[in-house]
Amino acid sequence: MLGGLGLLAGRLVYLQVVEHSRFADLARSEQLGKRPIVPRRGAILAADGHPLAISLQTYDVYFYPRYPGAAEARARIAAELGPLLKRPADELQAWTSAEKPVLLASGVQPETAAKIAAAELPGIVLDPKWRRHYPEGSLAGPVLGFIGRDGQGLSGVEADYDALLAGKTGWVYYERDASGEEIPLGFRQVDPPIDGADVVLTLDRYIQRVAEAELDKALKAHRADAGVVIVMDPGTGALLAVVSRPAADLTRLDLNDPNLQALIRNRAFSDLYEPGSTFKIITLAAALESGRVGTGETYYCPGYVKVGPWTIWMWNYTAMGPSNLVDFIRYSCNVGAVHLARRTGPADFYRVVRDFGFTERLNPEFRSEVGGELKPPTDPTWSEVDLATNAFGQALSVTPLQLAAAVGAVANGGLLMRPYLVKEVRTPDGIRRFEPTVVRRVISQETARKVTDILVEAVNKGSSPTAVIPGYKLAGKTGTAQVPEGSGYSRTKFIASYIGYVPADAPRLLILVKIDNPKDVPWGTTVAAPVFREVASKALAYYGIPPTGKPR
Amino acid sequence: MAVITYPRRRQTAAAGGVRLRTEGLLTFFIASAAVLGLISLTLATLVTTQGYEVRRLQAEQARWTEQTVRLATEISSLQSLERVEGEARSRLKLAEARDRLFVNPAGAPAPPPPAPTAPAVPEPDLLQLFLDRLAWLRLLLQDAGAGLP
Repeated sequence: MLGGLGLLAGRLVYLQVVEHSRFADLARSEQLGKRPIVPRRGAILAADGHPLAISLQTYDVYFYPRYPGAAEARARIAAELGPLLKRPADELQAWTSAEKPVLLASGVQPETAAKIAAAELPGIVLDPKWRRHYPEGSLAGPVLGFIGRDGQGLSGVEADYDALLAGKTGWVYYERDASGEEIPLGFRQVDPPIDGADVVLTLDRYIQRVAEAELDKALKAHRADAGVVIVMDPGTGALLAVVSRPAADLTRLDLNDPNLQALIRNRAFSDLYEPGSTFKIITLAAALESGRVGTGETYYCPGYVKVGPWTIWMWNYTAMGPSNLVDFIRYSCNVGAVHLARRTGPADFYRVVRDFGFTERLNPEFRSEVGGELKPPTDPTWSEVDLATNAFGQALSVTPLQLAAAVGAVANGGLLMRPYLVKEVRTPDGIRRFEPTVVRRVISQETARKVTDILVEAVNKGSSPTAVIPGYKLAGKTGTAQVPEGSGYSRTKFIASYIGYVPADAPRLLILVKIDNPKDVPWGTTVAAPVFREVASKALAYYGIPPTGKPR
Repeated sequence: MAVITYPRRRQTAAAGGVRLRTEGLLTFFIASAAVLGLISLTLATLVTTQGYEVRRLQAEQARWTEQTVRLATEISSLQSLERVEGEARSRLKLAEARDRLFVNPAGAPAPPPPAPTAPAVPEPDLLQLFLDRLAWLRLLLQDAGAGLP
């Protein structure tokens, strides 16, 4: 008897003391229910505060057939919901005949939802949801990115700044009855949600729209596969426009589309390519910065140059004869590029290339950004031909963003700025502003000025006539890059590009245009430079920058 | 044996007084409890009613806030550049400005002439296009190992 009592006491101690917290939690979980309150996702705004992406409340309409009276009311539900959801009543009745809960409609506007709620239809449940709305349509789509069904940012700014945009989910804790429903007047505690912060971009919607329209025109005219335009303020690194094509239509986004990643990818940040002749600006800067080459440097171009067992040809297989640095840029001379790289020496050449940021990710906040690829002299497979081909932008890969930032450093007196997209974050606690950041000094101010002078003179002598904006001093360079294929280069695929800054004396705009695989002509001067001219001339007028240079 | 007899009247009066006091107190307590209960019930009802009212007003506030955001978004959509340009072209029959005039303030050096309407450098003509294609053809036929301009 005593033993039995002892056992009972032991069990009691075990339940009440040892396992107390577990059973208390179990009891609480039986009595208390909780449901989330999803916060409003922050808006993404253009530089002028105009919303590019904003969340609005909509409703998903579900039918729960096991609700009391729901099964019997199918015909009535179909008849009453049909006109409200703009669907045939017989279609709705067929949907509601299933035994499992059915999603009848999503994205239902609040006015319609109020009418549905007022109808008090058994088994019909309205689930509030936030839905992204794009007042400017698909403007800057790949930059903005998109969110998944769970409301999480999956690409672009939506993913990069998801922690800020998402906010904090709130919770309602409530006492519930046997059926799990909230007991009116029972215990209720609300932990309110914190809405997401609004993110203000550096993008100017006018410049963005102009850049998108001009690139689309060029892609159509040259039947090209893809393209990128970057417009940057070289003095700050602020990105004023970033266009990536092809792009998905954000307003009609199909999350099940297998090509979605290709269409929503921001090619300006994530796609590596061989920059071709636009890289000669970097070769020139490295040569002048090394101190071994002066502005009076001359060389002889016989149309080819021997590098070990290899022969590197001038792009048009033509001997340019005695040439100077302006001729090197003007005629985009490969022999000149090899000459300058050899005079600079691999150590200084690669140091400057690295300092320009080609091997690093320039902004860690851009998740999709990738670092460039470059074989350094320390690599056992490196040889002199690598230095020679790197000098005219081959056998190395960069992103459009890296090239824009690097040439931006030349425009900015030798200071490499961190490219950035977000200038302000607005939270209920206040406004956090992002200031321009200097990554490092890459070349001296003097070298930067010399490079700019050579680029301007080359443009004035006709290196890129289709890029010229009358009245403005322009520094720029064309590029017609070959696309690697197998162990060599494709004979049919090219990348036409142009990069330049204007006004060259006090640069306000740096513009990079890259067009992949044009089908009619491959040349950067024919395909990409006109896009540069159109975007630049409209942007100059928009910013009210008066003509300063020699009118042409 | 002595028997003390109290006057009956006095005894009855004393007992009656005690009973009265007890009954009075009981009545008072019951009445007080009833009043307190009533007050408590009234307060609980009031609080509950006000609670519902607060929740209703909060819901209404949320609805109006949402409506404000919705209207602001609608305004943004109406101000979208695409729509503004479309309206300007179709309804107002406006065309894109090509000529730009920069006004020079007094004393400042004379600016260069304004940009001409047509691009200074014309698009490649037929001959240029032919030459471009010829150069490309040569490129296709020869070894594509040379860096391009």
